[in-house]
Amino acid sequence: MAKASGKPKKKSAKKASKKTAKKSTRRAGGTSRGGASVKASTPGGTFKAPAGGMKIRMYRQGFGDCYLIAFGGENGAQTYVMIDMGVVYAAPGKPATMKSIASSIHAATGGHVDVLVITHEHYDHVCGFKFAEQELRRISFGRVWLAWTQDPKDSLAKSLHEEYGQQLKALRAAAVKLKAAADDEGCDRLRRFLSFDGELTASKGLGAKEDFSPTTKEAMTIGVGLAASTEYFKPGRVIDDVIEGVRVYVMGPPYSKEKLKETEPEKNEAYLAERAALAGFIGALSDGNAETLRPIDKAYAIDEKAAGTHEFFAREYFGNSAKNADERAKRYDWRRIDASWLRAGGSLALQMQNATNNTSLVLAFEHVRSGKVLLFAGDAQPGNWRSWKDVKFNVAESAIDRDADCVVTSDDLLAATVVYKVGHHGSHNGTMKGEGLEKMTSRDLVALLSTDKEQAEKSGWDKIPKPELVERLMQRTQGRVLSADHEAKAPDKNRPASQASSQKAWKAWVDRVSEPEGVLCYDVEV
Amino acid sequence: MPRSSPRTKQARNTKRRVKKGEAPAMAPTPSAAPAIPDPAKRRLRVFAFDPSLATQFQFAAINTATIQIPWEPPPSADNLDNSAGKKPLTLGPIGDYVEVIDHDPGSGCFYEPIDLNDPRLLAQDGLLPDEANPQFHQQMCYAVAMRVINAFEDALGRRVLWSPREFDPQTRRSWNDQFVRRLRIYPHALREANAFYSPELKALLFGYFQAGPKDPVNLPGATVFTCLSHDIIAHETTHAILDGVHPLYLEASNPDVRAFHEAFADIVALFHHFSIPEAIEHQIAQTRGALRTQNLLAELAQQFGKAVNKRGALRNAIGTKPDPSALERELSPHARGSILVAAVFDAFLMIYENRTEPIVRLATGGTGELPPGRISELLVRELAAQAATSARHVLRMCIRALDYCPPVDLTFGEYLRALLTADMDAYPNDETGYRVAFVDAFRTRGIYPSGARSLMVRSVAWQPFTASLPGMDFFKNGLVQELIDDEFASDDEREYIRKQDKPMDPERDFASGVDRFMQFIRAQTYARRLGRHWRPSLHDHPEVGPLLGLALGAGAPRSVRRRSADNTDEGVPSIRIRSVRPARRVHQDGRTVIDLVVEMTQDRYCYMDAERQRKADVDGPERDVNDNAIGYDFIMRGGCTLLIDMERGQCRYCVQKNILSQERLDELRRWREGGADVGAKADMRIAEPFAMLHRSV
Repeated sequence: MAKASGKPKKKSAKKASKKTAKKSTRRAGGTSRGGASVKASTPGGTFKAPAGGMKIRMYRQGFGDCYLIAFGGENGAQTYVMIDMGVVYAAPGKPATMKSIASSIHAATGGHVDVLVITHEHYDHVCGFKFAEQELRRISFGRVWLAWTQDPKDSLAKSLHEEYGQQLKALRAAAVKLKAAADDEGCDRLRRFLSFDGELTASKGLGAKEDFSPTTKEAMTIGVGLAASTEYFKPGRVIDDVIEGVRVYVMGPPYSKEKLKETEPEKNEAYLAERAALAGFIGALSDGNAETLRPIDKAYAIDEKAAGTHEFFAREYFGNSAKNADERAKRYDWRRIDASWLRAGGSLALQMQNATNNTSLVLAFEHVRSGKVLLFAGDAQPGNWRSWKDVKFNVAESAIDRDADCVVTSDDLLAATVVYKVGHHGSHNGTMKGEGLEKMTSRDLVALLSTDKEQAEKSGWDKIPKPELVERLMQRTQGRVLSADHEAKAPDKNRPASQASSQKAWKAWVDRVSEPEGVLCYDVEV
Repeated sequence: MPRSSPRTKQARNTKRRVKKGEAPAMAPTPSAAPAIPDPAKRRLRVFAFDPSLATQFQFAAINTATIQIPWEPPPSADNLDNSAGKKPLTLGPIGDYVEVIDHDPGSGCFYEPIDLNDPRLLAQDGLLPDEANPQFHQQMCYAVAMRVINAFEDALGRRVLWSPREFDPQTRRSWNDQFVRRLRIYPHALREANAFYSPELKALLFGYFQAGPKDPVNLPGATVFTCLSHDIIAHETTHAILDGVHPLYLEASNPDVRAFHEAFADIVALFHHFSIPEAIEHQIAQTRGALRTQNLLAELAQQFGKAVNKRGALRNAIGTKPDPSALERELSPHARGSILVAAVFDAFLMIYENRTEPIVRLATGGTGELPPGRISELLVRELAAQAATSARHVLRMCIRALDYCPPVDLTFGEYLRALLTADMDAYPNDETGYRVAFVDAFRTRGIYPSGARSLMVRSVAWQPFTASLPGMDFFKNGLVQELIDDEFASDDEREYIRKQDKPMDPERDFASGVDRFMQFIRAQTYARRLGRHWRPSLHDHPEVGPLLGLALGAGAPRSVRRRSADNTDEGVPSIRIRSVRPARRVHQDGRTVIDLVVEMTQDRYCYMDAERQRKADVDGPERDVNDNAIGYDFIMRGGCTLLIDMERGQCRYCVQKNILSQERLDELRRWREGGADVGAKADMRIAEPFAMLHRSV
């Protein structure tokens, strides 16, 4: 089936995109293709794995995640797993894209998705739940799987959310103050981060130019509410009673505050310390009580109001001796620093994002009969990755259990991985090298990279995806990297020139991938 | 270097006092007795490194130091008016060069300024080092910044000027550079683990923060003040001074430029360690004279480094093996800069070891093998003295090189060439082999000068400029008599300006006793004079363009910016005379003479696409209705630094970056395409480029 739909379809898809490209104002992106396909009766058509097989659909909405996996039972019955649904704020035409994806999922699954996995609470993984709420409500969802960090009954999760809330409060306060100080550039930087979290609508006083709705939280709540049953997972769980012929291993997020705070590949202590270093910044802005965090005893301090009439500061800082406002502006005001300190909010925002990425639910799907593993790493960062090696899974018998001691380890899972959903859109901190990619030794490895360089740059990330990582992925997969990038080359052009893989092997790979009509995605047979 | 001696200053002060019939208020002296001379130095106590050493037993003894900085007198009737050559030191402290304004916006407060002229403080070298007292913080910022400034003045033989404020944001009159007398210092400006020189505010902003939970030296949760780190103050002050000499080094037109800014700031901070005798002796004793081993002197920003990164000092000059390929890999300013720092430190070690080798042999009966155990006090002292001298010389070499660097787009290799040339001018003979040490150290770190024929010092140094340039008579005979009106000039200053009516004489006009505002005005006067009377003669001889790296004459490619927008059809490319300043050197006959350093730059509209470039070279860039150039991808700058012998009216050296060079254009394109970050792509300037740690946005 896939073979039949190979090249001719690709061509027609390209033609269609050219037509719609003219309508699109910003770019001839897939979003317009997606948007146009809303009207198509069955966008993407049905989506089935062969009996006893697996098939993955990667939607190509841009910088964001949405995956549909079909597991075929021995008798041909399908179990559908959907993972995340979002795209980065900077992507154009978000509502239309998301609606078309939802319709496509409806058509692909016949209106029933068995499991909805929401890896973590970030705009580029959940905003679709809001944009396409109506369409999604027409689908029945069996259950929702979430990380323990979302569990309202978990005390550690609760304390993480409180901490996050306080940081967010500080960040909003900083943005509002920067706005008040007419530091538009500084404010815009924070705004960019806040919009990533979709939180801006909730903050007052910013005079938002654009509608940043929905908030991430809102979208998340909708997503969680799509199914009647919600399950929260901690690492070490093996779920073998939901998908026929498949064991699901929960690898992360680690149940440890410290591990969650490890957000960078190296110099972990440095980043821990950097977090501590901002405690004063957060404190000053979030609880409105600077007293406890004064760096210097109050006895030495002159408060801001009194300083206005303090002879020295009135003269040297406020420039009260200036003849008029103009002279004051020219001679004194340009050197004031009242708002400079607030720009540290940028570092805080980044820390917050990284910490949330680390709460990603990381799942490995083991196809028991073939011993093939699909690894979906969400946006896990190093603390999450590093914790995997401490997780042991007790399994009766498994083809991937290399030493056959009935304990499956993360190394076993990595070694058996044939499809890797690249962590964090290919950023420098989303894929561990020695403890990750280099352990994925399967000769059949395929990488799915949900990234879009242009949208990343628009969002202010100039190094996503990291070129060195992409290069290494190309080597390890012998060119079998599928990117969500609209400009991405069709898989048949991706073949590295200096590749050892034979013409035949390459053709076999190309034949496994198809691009169904009506919605922008890749279907990959596994 | 001839600098006005304290004696002449004293004489002048006395004369004035007598004329005005005033006796010093505090200590009336009988008229017959000679007046009490002003002190040459002010002594102030500081942390030798930073407060963290106070809590480490092994370093507690060298935790504090008393440093000497040039005396800025208390306010008096003599020095309060603006034209006085010597500015007073007042509350703040506010002196001639820096002003400490202690605003802590994160805590919503200000801290009372210190009065360093309080007799109680004068009598005890200022406040005792104390983390808890903000007035000590102010004192330390002032003292260390002044010390760095002083090192530059000694090395360059002229007064330090800050980079001018480029334009008034309201009127955007970019041609009217505004003098900035004082660098502002905010000791408690930020609530984060950071500190930086802000070129926009002409200010140093220091942060404070809580130490991390696993900090090895700081109490977890305790406040760490970056303004109490000797190294950080020195580093940031250096950024400001360098920006004053080379404002265009803010533009990262290649991976070396910003890395150089960081490296240079680190080099100055590093070699300042060697001016604290107690610290050197302590560390020499501890390492038994082997400065190649791990030691405090070679580390930067201990406390800060440990607070933000458990592994140790923020930066460490030694301990890395030379890896010539590192230069190709490292593109981030700090990492790349550290390669240059390591190279300079290697050169220093070679020089130090060369100087101490005979001493160690003398002390060991000729074997050079030190016996195990502690080494003798005498030997420690002698080695420490050699280390201090070597460090002083190396620092001086590094600073003097600045006048021999191109005005834009500096590379490490060019810096090496500048450094050697400058040293040849200061010390015509190199018996001690300093210059060879530098070439060798740079080579092992993979820093090669492009365009040099061999690695012999003579070939690596800039080649003397032998061609003759048109209009050079102007340097011998030209007059400076222009009135420059500055809206903030006081009446005294205006009066002084009008008196100017003499041939150019840098020795007189830029003497150390001349007020810095006057020096600034005079430099501008020189620049305008040259612009009016010498520049046209260059355009009349377009054939010298390639020598100077400039596009000259009306026939030059039209992509080079013209003098004004409406002058597109006829008219010659604009040449901006960026800087005119004096540089001292030793003449062959032993006299110290002054060269005039003249920097000129041009702008060229450039395109990523070669075809569009060709078109713009012929037709000029596209223009909008207001005749502003539009549609170009970026601006490339080019130009030269000239060192001009005023006596002979001859250009001695010309360091040029050719505005028309295809090679440079290709390099720039590659850099913008690949290595430069988003900020650099946008306008080649980023907000607050000099943060100790780069803010993550």
